[in-house]
Amino acid sequence: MTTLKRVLGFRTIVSTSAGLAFAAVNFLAVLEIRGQAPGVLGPLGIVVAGALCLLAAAVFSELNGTLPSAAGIRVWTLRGLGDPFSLTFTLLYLTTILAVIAADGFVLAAALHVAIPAVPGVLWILAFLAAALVSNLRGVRSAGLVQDLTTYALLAALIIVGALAMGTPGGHLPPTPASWSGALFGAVALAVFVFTGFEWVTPMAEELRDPHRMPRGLAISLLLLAVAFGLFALVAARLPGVSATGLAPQLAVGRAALGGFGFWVMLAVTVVTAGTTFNGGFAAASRLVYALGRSGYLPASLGSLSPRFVPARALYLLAGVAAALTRVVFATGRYLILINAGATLESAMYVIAALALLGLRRREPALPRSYRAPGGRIVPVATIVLFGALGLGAALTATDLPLPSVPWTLILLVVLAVAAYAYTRGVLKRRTASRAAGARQAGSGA
Amino acid sequence: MAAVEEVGRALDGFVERFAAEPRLKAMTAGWDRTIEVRSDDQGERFWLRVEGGVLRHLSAPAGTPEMVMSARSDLLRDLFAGRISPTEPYLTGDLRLIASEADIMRLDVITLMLWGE
Repeated sequence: MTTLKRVLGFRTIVSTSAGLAFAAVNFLAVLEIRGQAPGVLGPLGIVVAGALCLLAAAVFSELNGTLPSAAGIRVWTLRGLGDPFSLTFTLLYLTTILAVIAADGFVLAAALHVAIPAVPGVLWILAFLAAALVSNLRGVRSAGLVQDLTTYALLAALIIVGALAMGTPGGHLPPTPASWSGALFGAVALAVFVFTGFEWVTPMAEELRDPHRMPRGLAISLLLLAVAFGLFALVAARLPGVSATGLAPQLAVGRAALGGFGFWVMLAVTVVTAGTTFNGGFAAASRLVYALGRSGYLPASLGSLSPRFVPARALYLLAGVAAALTRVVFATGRYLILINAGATLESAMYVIAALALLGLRRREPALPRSYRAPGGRIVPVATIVLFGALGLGAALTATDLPLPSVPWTLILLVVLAVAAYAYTRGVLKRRTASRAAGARQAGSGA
Repeated sequence: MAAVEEVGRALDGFVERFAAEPRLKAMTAGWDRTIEVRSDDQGERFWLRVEGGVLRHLSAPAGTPEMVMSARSDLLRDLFAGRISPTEPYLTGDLRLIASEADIMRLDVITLMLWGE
């Protein structure tokens, strides 16, 4: 087989996967997990969620080994589950990316506002979104080595700061409640959010000389994330003062570990993390919007490229929506629904990927597969059952909106899904009618 | 399945159309790439090379390719003959492109400039 000049190395598979999942809003997710599951249950929930994500890693590795495509989830769901379902879910997937960008913008603004109160948080948000937009419009891409260094530095900083903070005096772990199983389930359901995006590296992987490289890389990425955020959760559970900084718990952990220096280290971690989330999120989402625009599933104007060969209109649209969404979150201070929705949609994505895998195995058994998830149907079926339950759990978790007993996350997602499905039906109907008219025209002309 | 010659002729036609479009010469200046085209059902390979704004159909690979395109032979024939757009088969997974995102975008624009939607 010919070897391409540009092949994603193993180290970069790990760093890209971990880097895509490493979001600033994860720090707030850890706080929410702590609220759901006191004591050691929160960190344990993160570790268990990471271990369960190994199932999803096997599913995505087989999908990528069967149909390697930069269009990833769109191709897999289309081939495995059909067009209406695929398009509906792709639109929801775009929503997830925007929700993560908005939540990260919120965390970034909150952290910077704590550090530099003179500057309004909303200005930080706009400045960073504008920087990410310009960077994408100019087609700037960080080299693999820069990406490796950034991600490994972020992980190392978080692990070192977390380990040092564990040694500070005065902290104690609250006791584990007697009825712990429900709390642990709630923690695992939300902790899926911490790993959101680890699988997005799969469509970026080109020809893999060793097909087992992808699942191994994803497993190491999950391990690193579980250690880093599990440790952070342990510190957050142990130090009551962590929540005193409100929306910037990572800064309190940094200060506990290394004083003022630790504070600024964690601020730098937050800034770099949010920057990479904005940049990566815009890049991934704009390509998807462009492809959907080009193929007529979204307005055709979104399928145009700038002279630098970047989907400029898609980028402007995404930046506008992200800025508006972030502004709303920042103004209201209500962010839990974004975390809960993100955790639900990520679990849903694993379920849908597993369904697509089973569909592909049934519909196209002869397709060559460079990697097959072990255990026959066990891995995809376990993924469907476990993440189906966890997704529902996350959707039913209380939010910080009025009337906490109302399942706002579930309501929001149902509304979005219905809207996406209605749009999908309309588009597919128009496409069918247009093709039929084209065929009639061709027939009459012949 | 298309005949090997049919795919070859479609590629030659693609090269001719490329040469006849002056905007492409300017657009691909400095974008030197080797594209390997794999016909899955035939087990055949073809090579295109863009260099200095000129596209050539090669009979043998010129170094390591930067891009690999693979699909069934009939799809490749129709694609290079301009009968179908690459976007739809790419999104259905029938056309596989292994390359950087920027290169995929540029290739998409090339086909768009040659054949429109």
